[in-house]
Amino acid sequence: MLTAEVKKPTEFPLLTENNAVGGAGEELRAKVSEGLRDTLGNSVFWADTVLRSGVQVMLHALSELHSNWDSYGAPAPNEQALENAARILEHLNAFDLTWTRIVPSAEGGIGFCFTKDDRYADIESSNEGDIIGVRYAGMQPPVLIETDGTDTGIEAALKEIRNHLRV
Amino acid sequence: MSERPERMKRNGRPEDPVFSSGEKLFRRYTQSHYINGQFSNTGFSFNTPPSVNREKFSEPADVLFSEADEFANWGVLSFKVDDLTRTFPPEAPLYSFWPRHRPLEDNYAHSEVWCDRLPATGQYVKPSPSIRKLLRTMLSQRVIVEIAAAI
Repeated sequence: MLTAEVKKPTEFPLLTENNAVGGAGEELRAKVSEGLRDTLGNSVFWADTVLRSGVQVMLHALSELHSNWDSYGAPAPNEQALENAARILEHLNAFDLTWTRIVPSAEGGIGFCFTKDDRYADIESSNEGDIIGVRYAGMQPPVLIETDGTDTGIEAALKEIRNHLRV
Repeated sequence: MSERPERMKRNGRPEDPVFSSGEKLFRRYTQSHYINGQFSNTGFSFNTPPSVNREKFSEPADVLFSEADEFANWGVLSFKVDDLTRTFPPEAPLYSFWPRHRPLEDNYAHSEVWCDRLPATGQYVKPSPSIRKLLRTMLSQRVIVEIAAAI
């Protein structure tokens, strides 16, 4: 039978200026950090991965909400809303991920909200299973973004939102 | 423990059905629904009549009052009675909307935004998802921050 040795994670001591490798160590740490930032900043893949992870963390946090989170009796997002939200997330591209904010819906569900200057749009996954959105600029009358709940419908809604924000 | 302001207590006062068009209606909120200076409609619900406090009998901060201070750092926003569309949709009205004074013993200013089908049924009618979405959005476009939320 194979037994795995459990190793403690390597701990790097704080490198101070007055120890033997302090200055060089700090320089190396700064160089590696800068390199990592450049890699993330210049890579579409990594930028997308980091943003997507952030949205997944937000979705997970919303899955743990309790009802009455708004103090006016709002229901917590249910399984149906979370499943559809995960489907919406699959369709978000790097542009969407940059502009989105995920919020709980007071009607029960999850909203993906997008803002740019005075433009606003959202797509909402409700506890009732509906996926519906809206868009507007400033005080202009809002325009409904309806979907049939299919992947094609979600993609069309997000395309409409992208066009709205890019104008 | 905080003490409830005297104006909040009903003290036997009757319902007052008269709302002026410029009267403000107050509601609590947190920063989560304020996104780059815009209040998201996802912070409103018309599943049931939305609760508000009317300006005629209250101060904005009254909606944050709780003996246990549970709303410390929440904010208050308002919209006007006039901001509620009377009937909707405009081209072929299916629903009517109006504020209704629903005083509570410990919150006399408590009111609700009511919706009924046309012709009237006398009951609160939950509008269809698309109508609700548009109503919530129109209201969110018109809100004013009375007390900024710190959370």
